[in-house]
Amino acid sequence: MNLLVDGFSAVLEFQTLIYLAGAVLLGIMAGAIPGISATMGVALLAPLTFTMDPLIGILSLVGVYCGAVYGGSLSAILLGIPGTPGAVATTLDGYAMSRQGRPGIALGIATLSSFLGGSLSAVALMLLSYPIADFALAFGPQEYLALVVFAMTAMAALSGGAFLKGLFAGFIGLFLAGIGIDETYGVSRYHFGHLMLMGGISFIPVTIGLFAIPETLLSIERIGLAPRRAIRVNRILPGRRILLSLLPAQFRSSVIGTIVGAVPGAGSDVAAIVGYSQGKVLSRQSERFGTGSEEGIACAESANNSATGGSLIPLLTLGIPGGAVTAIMLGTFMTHGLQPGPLLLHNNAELVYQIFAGVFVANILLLIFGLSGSKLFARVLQIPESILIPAILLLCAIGAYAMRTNPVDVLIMFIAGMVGYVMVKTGIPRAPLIIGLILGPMLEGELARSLILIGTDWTGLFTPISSVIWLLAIAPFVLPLARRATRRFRNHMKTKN
Amino acid sequence: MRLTHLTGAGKALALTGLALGLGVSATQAADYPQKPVELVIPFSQGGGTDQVGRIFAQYAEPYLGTEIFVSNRTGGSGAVGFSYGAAAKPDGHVITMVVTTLAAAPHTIEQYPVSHEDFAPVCLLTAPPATLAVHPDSGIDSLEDLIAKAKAEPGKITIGTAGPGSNTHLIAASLAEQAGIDVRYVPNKGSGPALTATYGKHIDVAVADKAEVAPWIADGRLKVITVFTDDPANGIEGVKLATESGFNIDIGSFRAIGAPKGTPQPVLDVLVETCRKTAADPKFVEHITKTGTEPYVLLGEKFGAWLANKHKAFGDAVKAAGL
Repeated sequence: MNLLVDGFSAVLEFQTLIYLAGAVLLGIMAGAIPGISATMGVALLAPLTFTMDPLIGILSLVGVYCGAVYGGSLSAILLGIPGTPGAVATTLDGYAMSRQGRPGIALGIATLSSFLGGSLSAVALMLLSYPIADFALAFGPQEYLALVVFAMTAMAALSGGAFLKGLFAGFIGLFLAGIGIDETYGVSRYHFGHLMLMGGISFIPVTIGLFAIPETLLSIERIGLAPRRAIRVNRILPGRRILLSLLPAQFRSSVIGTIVGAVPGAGSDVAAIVGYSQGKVLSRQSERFGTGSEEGIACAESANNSATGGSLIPLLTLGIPGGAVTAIMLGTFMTHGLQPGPLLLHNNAELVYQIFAGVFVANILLLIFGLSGSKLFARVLQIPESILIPAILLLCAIGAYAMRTNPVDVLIMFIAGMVGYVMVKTGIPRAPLIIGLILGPMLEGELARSLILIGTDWTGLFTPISSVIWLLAIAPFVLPLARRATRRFRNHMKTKN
Repeated sequence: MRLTHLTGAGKALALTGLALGLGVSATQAADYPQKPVELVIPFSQGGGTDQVGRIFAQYAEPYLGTEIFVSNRTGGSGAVGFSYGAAAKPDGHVITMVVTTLAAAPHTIEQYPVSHEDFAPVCLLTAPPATLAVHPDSGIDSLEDLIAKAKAEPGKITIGTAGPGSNTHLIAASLAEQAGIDVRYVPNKGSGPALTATYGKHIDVAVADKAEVAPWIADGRLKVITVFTDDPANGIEGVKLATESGFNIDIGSFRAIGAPKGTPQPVLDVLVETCRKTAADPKFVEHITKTGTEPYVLLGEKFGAWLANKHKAFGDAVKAAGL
């Protein structure tokens, strides 16, 4: 406990706090720009931290990471464009609320939920690191396969009622994910001799195009039809009743997000998808999901931010980087002569507790910046459309280009945009397509690895952990049927008597 | 002699000389670099190639005298970045991280569009040998143990590789071929996940280079049973070399710098000189060493010959392994 108190006092030192605050702000900006992801923000900052004091250097990266995952929700809510892949689910309810003239409340809920998710995962990091890390290590290909399938059932939740259309979009996403060199046997598929197709289709430009272009086109359609409603952001916090009613969903999503984040290979994008779809399954107002539900935002945002603390668990306790961001952090630790893993807590307990404290403080800073900045952020909606639309298009082109510095990605972004426009007009939900594209390579890779490991005995797919996940995955489909069946049975018995 | 260091009159003179077609090698060299230089990294942010590339860029900047900015042009098992780097204007303003995949993939991935012949060699930076790592509880203490176990239960041992077309897969296949054993290959997205899966006991063995495995053996989470090198100085203390066990498999990984084919010699000279100075910088050496591997530097044509050999070694390994 003393170590933790010392940790907080070290983080709250003026210089450390200034760096951390700056990093969180930078992260929020990076996250809000479509295409600039948490990974890129951290990768760009990492070389600058080599010369810093180890604590300040590592906390700067943590700050950018937490900030960027939160920042993705800003553009999702205000512009309908997910700033990071983790904000796809937030877009559905957040943008709907914005269009209904409640952008402030949406931002407020996103901020509070991000804070709650982030701090709960920080607490889990402090208290439950070792059990969670052991659990995460038990994840082999069979468990991952079940987890990916579990996440894919979210296609239903993200379809907003149009389930078959959602499934259609999801399979298009899966097909697009199959383009390029496959990761199991190195076979080139569907490239038609084009080098850029050989490299596969990245989900970043597709996400940007699919969401951003239709929104700008729709705004252009509206110009001149009706005077634009002036949006005034007076309130950023909903009433106490609503806030309290969101707590169970936020807590549930935080637990899901922390665990998904801790599992190597799955990050805040998968966490948000699973958190959102579970939220919908368990919600009493599930029909409101996708139409501007406060609960929907709460589920998505607490899940994706809790994945940040979760992903630090295997890094600090086992020395395993679960994703690109934590891989860069591992490199930073090593350049400072530190070895994350079981020995870090033994040899550098002070630093570890300072990092624990830092993650917590980063989330408090997020809350402060988010609540105080929400009114300011929302003013983006007061910018005249003649300026806003070209600016968005420019940012989107930059964002699509930045990830792989590939001009073809800009083209893909615009093509995805045109497809997205058709999808909007025909009522085909767009989020499932992104889910298919993100999860496709994981699904294929984990299935191939599972099959190599278990050989011809398919029952090997069901390990204790994976069986539980499989059950959770089919529950949303089986439960309503079971409920209907029991009701019918009861009615039947009643009429008999 | 760099343009930026000349006086205005000197600049004018140099430019006039060039305009008159009198550009002898000295003036051509003075002509480079004229603008920031792009270092293409064909793999994503946070990976091993990215790490070495960014460290190199950071320390080489002052010696080159201009900004070196890193661009991750990723996709297609490196094909996108390598192709971009090879097709760039050969004036030295676009250089590329030339790594293991460029020597391996042309043999293992059909229609791989680029090879080492598309690059002019600049310098080799690191060449960590490959290793085999197992869980300390696995009961496998040596390469001999592994082979005995694989022979006792054919098709049972699982070996994690960094994916198809990677040298780790070739190493595993060459070993299996030379030892006459039957094993299962489990492709992963890089050596990192393969090492994690070994630590989680989901697979038996991981193939990873010395730099990647270093943090895992530093605190005993994994155990290395062999190092694929014949140079004891390049090995790991207390670990028997593969050559000592009778296996000669020299297709380890490497990270190097290349320029587009056709880059003029004076420009290459400037780049090679930059490499030489950077590699001699104790801060660079210290930084690279902290990432788990010592620098292993070869310059210019020497590196070119080494690279051509590597390419051939990979081809031979592919044929021998019957892939």
